[in-house]
Amino acid sequence: MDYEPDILGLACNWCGYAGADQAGMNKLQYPANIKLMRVMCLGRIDTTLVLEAFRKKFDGVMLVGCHIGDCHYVSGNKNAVLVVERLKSILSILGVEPQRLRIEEVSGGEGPKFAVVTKEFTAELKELGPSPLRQV
Amino acid sequence: MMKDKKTQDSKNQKLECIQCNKCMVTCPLNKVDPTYSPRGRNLQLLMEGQESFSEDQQLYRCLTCFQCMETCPSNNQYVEVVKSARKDAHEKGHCDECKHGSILRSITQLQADLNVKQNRLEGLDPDSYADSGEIFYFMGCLPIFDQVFTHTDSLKIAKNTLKIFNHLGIKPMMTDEEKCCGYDLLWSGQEEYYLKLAKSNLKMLKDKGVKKIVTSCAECFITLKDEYSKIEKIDWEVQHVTEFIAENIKNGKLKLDKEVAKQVTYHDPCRLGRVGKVFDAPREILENVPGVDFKEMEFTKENSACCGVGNFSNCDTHTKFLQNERLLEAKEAGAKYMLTACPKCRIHFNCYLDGEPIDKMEELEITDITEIVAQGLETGEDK
Repeated sequence: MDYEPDILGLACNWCGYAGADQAGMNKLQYPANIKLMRVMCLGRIDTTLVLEAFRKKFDGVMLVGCHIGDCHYVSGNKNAVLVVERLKSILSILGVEPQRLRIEEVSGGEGPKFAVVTKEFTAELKELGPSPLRQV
Repeated sequence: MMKDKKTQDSKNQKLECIQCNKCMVTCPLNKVDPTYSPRGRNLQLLMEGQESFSEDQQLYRCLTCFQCMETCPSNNQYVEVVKSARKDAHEKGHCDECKHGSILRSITQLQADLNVKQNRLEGLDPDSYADSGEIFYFMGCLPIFDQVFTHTDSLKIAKNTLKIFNHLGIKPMMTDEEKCCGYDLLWSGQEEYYLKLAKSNLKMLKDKGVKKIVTSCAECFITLKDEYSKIEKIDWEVQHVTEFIAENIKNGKLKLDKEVAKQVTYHDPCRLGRVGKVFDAPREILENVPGVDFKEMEFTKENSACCGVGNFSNCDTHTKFLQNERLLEAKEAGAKYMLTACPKCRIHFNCYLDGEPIDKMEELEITDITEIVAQGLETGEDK
């Protein structure tokens, strides 16, 4: 199987992105399938943004943000959890596997965790196969 | 000199306008925002040309409620002009802004692109529908509305409709292959996506050998009936659920025995009323539900006010005033329940009530007409 999934990583500036940065600085290996996009806070992510990513033929979308309670803007990540929940049910109605979307809590110091979740997600997507939108 | 009524060529349109201002008086938007009027826009088309008309952001403010076309003495097809101008504008890269972060538009576009098995029947009882049959129940976007507008519980409309079907001993055909009818995309000018959805639906309906389609949504009704026939010749009958129920009440198959002691009024959706000319069916239904105290509002039938939002794109403060006015009408008529036959009208009015209404609207509830019918069924459980 030479299928390599494309993942869009939406990382918050304060935790997720810093975690990814630390993983890089510590020279930890993580799959290059993930394309990171920095946002100021996961509270900025709305349903449309994720749906657009799927339309642009990404196989999976991962939201990486602060631990619940540690949000730099108080409650941005709590909103993101709600958005993800709603999106999963919409994706499942449309026939896209809801596992293609996930949200992870990675703090600025958790470089190793970032590498682990990325590896996990990539392996899971490899098992799922290409996104239904790619097959068209 | 009257031109052909059906003409859609915008060049002929401007000649037909006699600037009589009748449309301005009836236009719901003009009541709350005097800077907008169909007459003014016609004048703009006449004086400044098609380009100025299409590129003005005012193009997306029209609610496409067909109110102006009801009164126009020269039969000017203003809404059709707006529709074709939106199509032109989209080709040039302009588009309206869908509210709610354009989530509904993304979903419908995604649906057009996707070619996989959906799970849209998940929330329904698998015993209540069948895989084949002559009657097809087209439920439209109800499962998606149910997820996007969680507080409105839109799937209840489908459940109630199925309850009525099953009471008649019919298991309507439903399928996961059904997609959005594409109404919103058509009216916002994105015809390429609309055609994708329409063709996919037409192929599905043809393959299934459907004889009759019943829809829950007034907009699906008009799209399946009038717009799809422009793409291909269709050999099935399209009925709105109110027509279907009224027909079955008339021929004695559907008997409503249970008392439903409620004071109700009925809001005519634009697409079902002014466009589809279905005025009597919902009223016949309400007359036949025992115990229902049906009261008409001040503006009904052809003059029914718009719910204030067209294809989820022009919701603003003006909309809120329009909705307030309509709900006040319902309140003045003495109704506790305002019924409608379009899930979108139901969502928009409920959205207004859940927000901060300008006038107090206690005890007023917005529901679908099928809910009252389902309550009137003998075997129907209470809520």
